[in-house]
Amino acid sequence: MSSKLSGGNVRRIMAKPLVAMILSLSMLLSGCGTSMERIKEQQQLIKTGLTRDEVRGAIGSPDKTYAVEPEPGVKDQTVEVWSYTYKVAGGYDLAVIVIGIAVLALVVVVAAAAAGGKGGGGGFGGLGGGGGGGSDSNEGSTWRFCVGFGPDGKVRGISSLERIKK
Amino acid sequence: MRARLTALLCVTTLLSGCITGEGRALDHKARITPGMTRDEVRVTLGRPDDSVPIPGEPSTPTAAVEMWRYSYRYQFWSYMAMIFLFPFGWALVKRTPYSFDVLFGADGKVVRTSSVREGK
Repeated sequence: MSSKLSGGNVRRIMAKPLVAMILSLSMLLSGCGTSMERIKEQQQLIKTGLTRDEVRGAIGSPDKTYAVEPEPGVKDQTVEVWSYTYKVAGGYDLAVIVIGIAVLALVVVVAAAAAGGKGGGGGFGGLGGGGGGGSDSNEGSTWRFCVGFGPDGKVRGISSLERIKK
Repeated sequence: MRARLTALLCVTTLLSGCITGEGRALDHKARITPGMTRDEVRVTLGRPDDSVPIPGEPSTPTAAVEMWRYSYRYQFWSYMAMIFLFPFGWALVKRTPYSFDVLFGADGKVVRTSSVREGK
């Protein structure tokens, strides 16, 4: 009975779900925030002439809508503005930290299990967090772009990306 | 006692009706005239509750490129009236805010203001 649970068996039993858990957790966390590239991609999806439904289909519903009181006597003007707000997450660095901690935990668990058996080491040696790399000064900041619609319900213009909160 | 209570109810009802955000919004809107700069508007009314660029406007001198929104609620008096008039206050007091927009042109000066309307 006890021989079944020791050493390599334990390592094999525990490693798969743990690795799967670590991978899915880190994927989830890294996907939590929006990167600047993603925001720019979203912005670039919007072209003048798109309808409200097409905009909604492409980048989702806006965070806020503003009705702009039209200037009397002017047909060609923006009458509604949709605001899209995005928060740039810690993203990559956070994922690296989580992976580092999780890998460390895995190593400890596997090592402890192995110590109960033969005592062989094993595993993932020197996997650490590693240098962050790609650290972005925009992390944690909030950005916004706006889409203006004309009286015909079509996009007339897209504002530039602006930082609204650090 | 009864007369006092009636008087109190009347005053509170009057207050709840009169002191809504609408009067203040109209008063503040009247202070803004076309040609004022952003700084002048900020000094006159304070920071806006919300601001948003207006993309896609034609490049004419009267076209607005930015909108500042000012909202007025008078929460204090609304709540006072609600307390005094309990349980009818909730229905009597107008709790919805009133707001208006200040629109700036490409030169950073006010081109027009919107009408005061109910809602944010």
